[in-house]
Amino acid sequence: MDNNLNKQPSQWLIYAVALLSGLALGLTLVFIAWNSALEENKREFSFEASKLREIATHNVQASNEVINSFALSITENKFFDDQIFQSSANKILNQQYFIEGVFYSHVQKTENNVISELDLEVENSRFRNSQTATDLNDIIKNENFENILNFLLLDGSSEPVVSVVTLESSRYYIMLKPVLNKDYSVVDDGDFTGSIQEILCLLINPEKLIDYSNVSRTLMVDLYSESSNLSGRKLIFSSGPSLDSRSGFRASSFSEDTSMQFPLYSVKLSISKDVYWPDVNQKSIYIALFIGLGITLLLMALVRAKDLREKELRERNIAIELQVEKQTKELALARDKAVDGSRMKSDFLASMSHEIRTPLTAIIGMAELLSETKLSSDQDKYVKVFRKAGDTLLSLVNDILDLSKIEAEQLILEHISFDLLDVIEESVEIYAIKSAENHVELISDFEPKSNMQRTGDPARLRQIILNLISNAIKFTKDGHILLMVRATDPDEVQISVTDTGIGIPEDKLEAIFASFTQADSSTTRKFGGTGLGLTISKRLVEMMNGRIWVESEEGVGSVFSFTVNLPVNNSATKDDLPLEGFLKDKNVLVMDSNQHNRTKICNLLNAFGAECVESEEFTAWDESKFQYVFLDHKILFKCNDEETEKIRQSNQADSGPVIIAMLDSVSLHQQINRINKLELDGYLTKPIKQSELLHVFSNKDEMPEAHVSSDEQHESKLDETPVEEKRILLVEDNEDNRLLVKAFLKNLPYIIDEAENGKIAVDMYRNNTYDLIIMDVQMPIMDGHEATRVIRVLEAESGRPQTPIIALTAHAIKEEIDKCLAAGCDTHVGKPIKKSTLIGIIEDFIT
Amino acid sequence: MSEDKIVVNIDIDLEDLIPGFMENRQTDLQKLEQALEDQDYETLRSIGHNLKGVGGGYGFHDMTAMGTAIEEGARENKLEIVKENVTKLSHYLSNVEIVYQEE
Repeated sequence: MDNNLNKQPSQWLIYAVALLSGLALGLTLVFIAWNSALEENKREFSFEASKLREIATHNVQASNEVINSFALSITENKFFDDQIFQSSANKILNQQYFIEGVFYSHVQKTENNVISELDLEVENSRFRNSQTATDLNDIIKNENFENILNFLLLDGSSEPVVSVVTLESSRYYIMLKPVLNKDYSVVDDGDFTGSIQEILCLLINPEKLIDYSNVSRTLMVDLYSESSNLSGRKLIFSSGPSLDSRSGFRASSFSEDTSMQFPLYSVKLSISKDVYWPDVNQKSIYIALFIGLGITLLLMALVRAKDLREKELRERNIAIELQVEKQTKELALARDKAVDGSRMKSDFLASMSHEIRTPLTAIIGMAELLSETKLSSDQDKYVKVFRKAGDTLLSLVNDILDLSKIEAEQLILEHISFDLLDVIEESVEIYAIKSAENHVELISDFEPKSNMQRTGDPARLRQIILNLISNAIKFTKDGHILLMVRATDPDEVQISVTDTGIGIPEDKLEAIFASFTQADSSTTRKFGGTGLGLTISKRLVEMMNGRIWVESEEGVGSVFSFTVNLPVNNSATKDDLPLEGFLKDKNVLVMDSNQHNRTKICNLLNAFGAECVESEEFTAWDESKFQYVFLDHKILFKCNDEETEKIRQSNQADSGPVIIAMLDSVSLHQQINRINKLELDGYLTKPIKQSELLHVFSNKDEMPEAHVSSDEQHESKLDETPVEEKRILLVEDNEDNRLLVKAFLKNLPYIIDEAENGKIAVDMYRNNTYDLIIMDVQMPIMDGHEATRVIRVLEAESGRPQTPIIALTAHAIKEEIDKCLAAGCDTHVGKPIKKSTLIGIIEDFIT
Repeated sequence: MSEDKIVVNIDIDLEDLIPGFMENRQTDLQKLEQALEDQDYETLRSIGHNLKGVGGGYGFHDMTAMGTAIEEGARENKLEIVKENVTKLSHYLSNVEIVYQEE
């Protein structure tokens, strides 16, 4: 709508501009056409006018000449008489068609030069027709005639003068000239001497003078005479078009004036013509007008078309936009529904799995307890079956929980620094017994000096490794499983698990990472497992910006490899890592039937400077050559008596080598008994950890005892007396929740102080000593974050030891937890508070 | 009509606290109803927040859900949602049946 409003003015402007420019062009065209049309009329007028002017000029001059020459001839000719006059007059009338008559007259002379009365006596005359003769009397009595006659007499001039006499029936242009006698002369002061006795007069027809019969009737013609000292302008002839011919409006008018000058008078001819609309050549004007209008209309039409097209386009755009918006909304809705559905499913699974796990743990525990009681062989069989089923169910539930967490995007990877070596060795240790039971050697292999201090999520990494090892163990009947770790990039680690198991058919390789897929559906029945492990591993690897893949050959084995991004953590260095060359000059013999094992140990020792010899048989034994001998239990227990004796002897001699047995975890007790009889210097359990191996060289005497003593310690710990009463500060604004926590802890040996907000808590902290603080986050006056920060500052200032602070968070979101930890809390418990969780965490800190 | 009964399992340790707790919730309900009438969103939000905070801890998870809905409804000035959840809460409080159990 806004768009339309904004476009309105400019739209009108375009229309106006188009209209104006169209009209301007049209007007210009019409103007040009008009001018050219009038030009034609003007040309016509000029032609007619010049013709008329030529005739008029010629005739007026001719009449002037005629009267002069006639008068001269009368004066000059001594024998002038009637007869001569008549013939001369005839001649004049014949020659000049416009002269109607001529007469010659005596003028009565008056006294004192004052003419009071004219007495004119026509002496001789000649007329073209009788009408003129009749008119003569009237003419000479006419005022105008008398006026010029008087003027002529008074002035005494010899030049002709003119005037006009209008009678009822006709009009005459008259011309007078004195006929002078010999003694007539004009003196300087204007007076004259002598006398005028006779005058000559020409009567001229004005119409004929300008040859009016041949003049176009459209012209307006005015012929005037002007005499200098006389009464002024006299209209000789005037004619114009009749009113009938004036149809239409006057388009234009042309005019032309001509003047003929004579000594005592002048004659002016004024020709003009009004051009009326019908006279104009209208065709071109109409064409121009039509073209102009056409162009204007065309422009308007173009603008209109453009406008319409824009409007249509705009409307279509709006329609498309609406449709797109609608579809986007529908899509978003559908997507939201799908996502919601998927997330709800995952949420449901996550919570359900959690709920299932709790009773399941109880079932498995009970089965375990039951199996420890006295049972008949049948009962024992049944219990074993449901224990195994319980285990399978639990791992299935765990896997589903993981997967659903990943899919519900609830799983947030940690980003902490850790020792990759620990993760690897722990993982291998977990499966040590299981692999030993299967008579499969489980070996971890890594570059001895590579940087193992990394940043990432160790728990999830361990989960992936354990999953791959567990798979390998499941499908490997004999041989070995090799866990290999390589840093492919400073920040990337490639880990692969190689087994010598049954392998995977090539056509099943791709599907193996999909959910609930094993190479064969029968595999699940045969080997157990949920089939979710690899799916979870794949997701986790992807979350760590890595990839996972498998290479396999049926009957030979499989290699599962993955890369993960684990940035090197330079700030952390392992304290107990030995110096570079601390095994320099040490000669070591490693006897192991498994080549990978031998190589691994030797690589490691070589890296720290030792000279290492490998052997798969006892034959390499030489007590004088080596300071250290590592002896695999398989070789050890295969020794014949002679060989055993060699060992015993060298062991008793002070100079003999340090002999370390390498035992496997399954039959540890029997093996320990046997090595005790041999009185060896110590033993290591497979898979061998780097730290334990290096420990042999730094402190050989403590080796055998270490394992035993730790067991004893563990047992003695259980016998300790119960913990003394501890003091806890509970900070929570909600009374119901304070009551809740107190109820949860009521049977435990804790004294609980309460604070309603952070401020009260800080005050109480100043005056008392607490073993632990439970801190709600959201509180009025001072919140948990702030209170924690204040307490930490107080501790730093006073040097008091740090009090553990457990935050109570509303949501178990990583961001919120991070905020608590950043404020100085040691850990957190999410709401709603679970009794067991709370007690567990409290005990972690204050027992 | 037995379907109307809402059975909630509560830790036996909390048995002593429940009467007081339920009494507090009745007070909350009255305050909520008053606030609804006054369209007092701040009070609605505050009590909703409180319900959300205490319900789950005691084992009344539905109460936490209602509290969350009331808090968010009040924050976004959606009276309808608040009303609906207050009604739900009222129904819940009058029909809840507590079964104490050992953990």
